[in-house]
Amino acid sequence: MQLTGLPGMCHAVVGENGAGKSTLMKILSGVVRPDRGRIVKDGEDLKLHHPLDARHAGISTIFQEFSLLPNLSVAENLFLGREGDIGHAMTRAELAQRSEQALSELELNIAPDRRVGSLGVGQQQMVEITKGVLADASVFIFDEPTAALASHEVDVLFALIERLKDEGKTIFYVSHRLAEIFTLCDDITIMKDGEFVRCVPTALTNEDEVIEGMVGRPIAELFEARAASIGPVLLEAKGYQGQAMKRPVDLTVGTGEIVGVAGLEAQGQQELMRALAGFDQRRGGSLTLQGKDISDIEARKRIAAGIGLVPESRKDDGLFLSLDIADNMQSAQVARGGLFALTPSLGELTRDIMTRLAVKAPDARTPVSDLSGGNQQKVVLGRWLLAGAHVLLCEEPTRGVDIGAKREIYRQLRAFAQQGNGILVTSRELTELIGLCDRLLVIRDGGIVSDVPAEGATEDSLLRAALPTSLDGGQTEAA
Amino acid sequence: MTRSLRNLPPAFWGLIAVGVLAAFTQPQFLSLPFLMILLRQAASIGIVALGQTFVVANRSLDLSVGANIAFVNLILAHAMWSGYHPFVAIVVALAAGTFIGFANGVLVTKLRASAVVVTLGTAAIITGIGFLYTGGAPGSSISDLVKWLGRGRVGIVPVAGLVWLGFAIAAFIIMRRLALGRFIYAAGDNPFAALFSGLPVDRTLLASHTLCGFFAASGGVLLSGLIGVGSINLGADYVLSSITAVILGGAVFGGGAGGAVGTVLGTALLVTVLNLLTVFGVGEPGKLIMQGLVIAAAAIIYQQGRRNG
Repeated sequence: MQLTGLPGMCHAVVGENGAGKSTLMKILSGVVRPDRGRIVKDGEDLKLHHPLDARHAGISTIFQEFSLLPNLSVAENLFLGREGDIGHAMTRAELAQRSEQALSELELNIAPDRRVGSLGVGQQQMVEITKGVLADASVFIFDEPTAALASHEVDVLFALIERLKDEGKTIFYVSHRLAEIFTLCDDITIMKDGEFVRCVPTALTNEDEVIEGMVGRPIAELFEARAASIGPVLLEAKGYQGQAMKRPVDLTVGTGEIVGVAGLEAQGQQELMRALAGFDQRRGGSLTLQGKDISDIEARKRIAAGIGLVPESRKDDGLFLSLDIADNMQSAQVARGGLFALTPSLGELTRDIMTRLAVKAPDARTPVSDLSGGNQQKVVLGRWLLAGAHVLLCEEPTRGVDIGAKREIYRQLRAFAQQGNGILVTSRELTELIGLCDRLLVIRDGGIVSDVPAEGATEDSLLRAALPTSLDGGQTEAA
Repeated sequence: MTRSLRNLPPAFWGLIAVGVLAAFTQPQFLSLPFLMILLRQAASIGIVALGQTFVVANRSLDLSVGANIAFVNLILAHAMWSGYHPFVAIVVALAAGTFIGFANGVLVTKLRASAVVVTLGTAAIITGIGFLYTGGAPGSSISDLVKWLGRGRVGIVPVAGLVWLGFAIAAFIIMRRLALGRFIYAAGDNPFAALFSGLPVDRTLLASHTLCGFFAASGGVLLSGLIGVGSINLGADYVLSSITAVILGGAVFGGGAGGAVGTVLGTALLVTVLNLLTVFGVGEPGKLIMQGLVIAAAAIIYQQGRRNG
């Protein structure tokens, strides 16, 4: 394995789950010892036997789990264990003043006397970075830093990383999210199965090439063949509008069809999906499922009629994390019975679906919290296979899932559609939508502005439709 | 095998430890007659704790079980039932207790209010109504049927113990064999995921509170029979002990865990420990502190789990 970081550069490390990215980062931060090979910094051989060695060598690592003490204040955390470097115990006032200064130098708006435990994930991460800056680190390692962040927090993080680059720091950035890497990083190192594949400057490559390197095969093979023919309409919305939707929407999903909803961030994708699933009061229009009017029935009954929702946030809205695979997969099916119905015996069906989806777990009694993101997503999909849904409303089906599991999920979605069902899917990744779907809708400001076959669609044409025209651009800004 | 060991509630190991301790220090503690006395004493708290299990697994709490028991006791002890079959008083008392649970459930689901606040409020209201109903002087007309339920024996086995067993089986079936049990664990673990799976989240919570009311009232009937008279503020300590028993049985604040078997073991452990403490000469203050520590520890473990999870 080889990896070279240059001052003022952001170097991305990508690969499938299990490719060895995190292990490599742990070696650099002294958590794991290398079996062989050398780590050289500023021409000097480093022997990193302990995380402290790495810290003294000026390497600061921001893991997904922070090393902050939640019950201490921001200021106390920043200077914890550094009394020695400063030479004397600091007074409260001095502590506050120094912290204030450090935070404001990074243009961070965090009160130094706040308890760290009361901060959001994004702000805790900022504190962790500030700590690294204070320790005068010259190398910063980020391991999936945006996994738990909201989009506005991501912006703050990126601004901060840009600052670090400007100050000549070296940055290693591990992430699944290629879009982030292409906006932020200068070089990309691709790993596969614990080995170095290649290192390329970002400017000389594109997402498809990187994915091909990670998967080891051409990108076209990631996706299944599109539907040969589309059957009768399964789900049809006519002028349908929920309370939270800005505009009424017309759309259809045919038998065997996967329809994608593309659009910029927060253009009403989620509102649309939740309204169709019945989790939002209807304001107007009609909705039919297999020719049956379901406009006025509540979510539970829509689900019983054959609609399934795969929510975007798996952990917050999709899974029962303290329960096992069987309980998670069977929930929608069991929900169809009354409170005092006997629980049906679904063990065999559950095992069948686990095999069909290739869920990697010893058995159905494995807690879902033990599974990887990809396998967790399969469990949520399996819930709707088990419940016999006909139309799947799928939000961001591959969020936080590695490339191998993505491919598996694409395959399963296509197989589901082929069995006489339909899927409506939203995604931030345009390549994914183009490869996966039969037809694409573009949503802008709550309205559907384009409806084109996915075959032949390009990211360019979709983006053009998704971007506000100069005329209504001003309105969006104002809103 | 390892997984089933890991899934055993803390009370299981606690009972083994306490059993060993008792065998070495107080061997008479483990004699059959004495264990039967413990069983009789544990039955009422055991049933109340089973009721509490439903709401705790459903990410809720019922602080009105004590007031519920007191109210049931006042009804059973009131002179107005003297002309009727003893059965009538029991049915009325159970209906009242069940209604208290139902009212808690309605308030918690419709008002989206905190269960702690709601059930604390209903507890105060019921206590007030109880004072009005009895004029502050509880009756002493508890029927022989109720007394038999609380104190009687079949052979050497206390009737109360058999009743407890019946309720434990019912609770087990509800939690493990009925859809309601699945709903309770699911909605307790993640109400949002439950909603998006099509679960009747509100009705589940309503049902678990109603069941808790019914179980609390049933525990109240046994306790009234054991005490044999009407008594203001009977069962006040059952709020704390029922929660302690549920937690020893492996439930966690925040829902999604616990169960009938766990709660039975938790109750057994709690009652055994409380009696052992008496034998060792530890008084009420020490027992209260012990129960408080168990709940505090559970709360800390829950917080830690949330931070890591």
